[in-house]
Amino acid sequence: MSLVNYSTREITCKIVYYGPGRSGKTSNLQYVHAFVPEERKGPMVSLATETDRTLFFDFLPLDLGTISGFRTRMQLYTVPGQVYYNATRKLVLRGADGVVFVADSQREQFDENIESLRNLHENLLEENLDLRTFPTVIQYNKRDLPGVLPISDLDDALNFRGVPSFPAAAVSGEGVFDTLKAVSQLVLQNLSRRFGQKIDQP
Amino acid sequence: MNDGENRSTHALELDPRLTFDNYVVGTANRLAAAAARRVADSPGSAYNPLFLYSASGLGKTHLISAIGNHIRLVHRDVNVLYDTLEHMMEMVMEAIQAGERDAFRSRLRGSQVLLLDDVQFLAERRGAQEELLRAWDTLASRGGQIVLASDRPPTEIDALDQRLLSRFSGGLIADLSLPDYETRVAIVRKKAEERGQTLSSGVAETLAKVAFGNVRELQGGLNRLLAIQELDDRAVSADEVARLVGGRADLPRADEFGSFLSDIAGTVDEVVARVTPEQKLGDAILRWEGEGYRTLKLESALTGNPTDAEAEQCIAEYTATVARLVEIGAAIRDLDPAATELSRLDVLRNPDRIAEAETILDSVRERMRPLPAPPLAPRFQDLNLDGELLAVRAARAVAQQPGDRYNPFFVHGFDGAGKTSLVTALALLFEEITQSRTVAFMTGDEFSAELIAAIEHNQVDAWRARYRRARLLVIDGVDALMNTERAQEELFHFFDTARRAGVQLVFTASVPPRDLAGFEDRLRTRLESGLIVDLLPTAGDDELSAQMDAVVAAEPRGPTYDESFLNREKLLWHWPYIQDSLVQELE
Repeated sequence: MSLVNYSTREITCKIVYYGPGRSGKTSNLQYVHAFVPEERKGPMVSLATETDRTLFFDFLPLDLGTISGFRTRMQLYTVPGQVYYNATRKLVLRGADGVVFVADSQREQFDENIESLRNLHENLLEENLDLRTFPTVIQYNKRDLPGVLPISDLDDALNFRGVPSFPAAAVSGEGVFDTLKAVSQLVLQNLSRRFGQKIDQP
Repeated sequence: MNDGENRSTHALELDPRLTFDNYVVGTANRLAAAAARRVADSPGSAYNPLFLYSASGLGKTHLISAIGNHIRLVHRDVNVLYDTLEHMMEMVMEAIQAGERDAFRSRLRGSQVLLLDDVQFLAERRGAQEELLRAWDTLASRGGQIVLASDRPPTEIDALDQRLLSRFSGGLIADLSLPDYETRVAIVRKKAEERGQTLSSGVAETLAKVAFGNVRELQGGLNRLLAIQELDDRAVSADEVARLVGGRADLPRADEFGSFLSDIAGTVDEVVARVTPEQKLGDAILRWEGEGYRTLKLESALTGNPTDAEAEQCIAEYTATVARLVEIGAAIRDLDPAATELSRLDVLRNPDRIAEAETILDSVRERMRPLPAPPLAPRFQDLNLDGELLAVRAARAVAQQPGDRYNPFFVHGFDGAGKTSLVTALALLFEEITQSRTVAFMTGDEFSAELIAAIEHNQVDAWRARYRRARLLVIDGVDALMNTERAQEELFHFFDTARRAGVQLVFTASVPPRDLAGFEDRLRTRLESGLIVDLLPTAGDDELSAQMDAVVAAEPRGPTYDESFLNREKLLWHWPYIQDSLVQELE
């Protein structure tokens, strides 16, 4: 899916926001959408149910313009969080270059987070993706709500691979761009690895 | 705009203050700046054309001016022409109105580097695009360097001519985006330094954090701070910045996306910088193969351990050749949308066979070249011939019912008898009736000469195909083919094809076919197979004959005139005491 095309000078990458239902995946995209200048974004496509739950997926194309001579585009997707939409999740995940796992920091959502992460791993394995190298970041969302679990607890339960993680309050925008920036950089660095040249980590 | 007349007659002046030395390079403009530098160091040899684009206020004009100023400094013999598209078009228009178009062109010819700003105004302007194409050809034919700046990439310039689009894309397209925070700090410091002022600690940093839309606005903000420092004779502190530049700093999140972009740009930069020459070539091969082009040239470059510059050059050349192939295909389609040559993908998609593609284009061009037209006059009503003559009546009938009744139609008679006029009238009437330009009208000499030229340029097939478009073929003075071999053979072949296709053939000669010397029998018999008419005078012109008799009677020992050759144009005298005849033109 991801593409660095030297002759057409294009870079395209696909990033998927994954996580349990109501963890704030769509809110992430909406916040990004609101802050991207008009000429840089396409219309955000949301296929949602009447109760505003994502039924299929959200899609936000971003045109980052020409960077170092390359027309750089990003496609941001969300998957539906509810358990029974696994077929849609697999479909959206196909061809992804990176994943943001949006966890719900609320204590009562603890099990849903673990279940969703397990589901992500299953689906990635089905796509023959190596979990150790696949660009992934974790966002601990809803930090602004009362009674959330400490980050360290969440890290222990969800981040056993030690990927970059960010506290966030997606509705107010806190941490949204930090998360996007981190996953984008991982994806781009991964692209360069696939070119056979490793970029030195800073 | 104030300098009236001079404005339009001269290109614009470069601002000498805009140089590479005071151009701050960051992630957002590194590629553009490096390419500009290389172009300025060796114009015409790399990145030609260089196409720079960005939103306004991000340094295009600075960069394009820096190229010009650098070239003028280092290469003093190189003539640089700097202009904006709008202004250049005004110059062209005024040159045309003043009848000095050539003067404009020659000035262009005198330049080796064209720096053209604001080319986005080419959008939807055919005339301007044509003019730029012409200027381009003038420059490119001598290896001149072209640098263009625009506020958008070429693909987003509305209704841009395909030829221009492919030329723009043939070099390097580089954009300049909003500089990242660190570069903004560097810009602020540099500008302050240029003005000979010092900023208090933290001022440059605070100003660089303000959400300005572009560098020009940033400079505006700095100018305000510097003005306050100068006028109030005090140092502005970091805390004051937000208030002094109009409260913009109160919107810290407004450029969250911009800062995201700057950071990502750095990563992309690293990714791109690590692409090896082999990967570049491999990528190009995949792309062009995907579009159906043969990529042997790229493949062989790939196996030769190319350096980065060699790979770039190879790709650039290959891309330019492909662009030419596309142009050739389009040109063939323009000339003849049904051309069978369009299916020659083995050639039209193979840059190694570009020479053959050019030959194909030449041959389609030759085939579709307009047929040689008949003279503009005379028409039947203007003929100096008796309308009742068999030849004249037959000629009318041929024009009215071409192809079947009298084919070929053969007119013979002495020089000056009016054969050319008659067949011209025939051809013009044919054109009038058919409302078409399908007459091929030529002399026998021209027929031979064209054939020789076609043989010389290996275009015989195209030459034949061209004449197959004719519905009426007139060869005036077919006797000129006497003793030719190839021309008679071509005519012979053409004869059969043409008659089968219902094409009307018309010939004139000084003698009837049976008396044509130096003609092969197979051709002679074919020339005889239609209607043969003569333009010999009939005994009908009694009045003229009586006048001539009177002349002879007055001079008993003088010449006699040839009664078999008598018309109102010429008179053929036989002189008794010289072994020759004399043709007298009558008034």
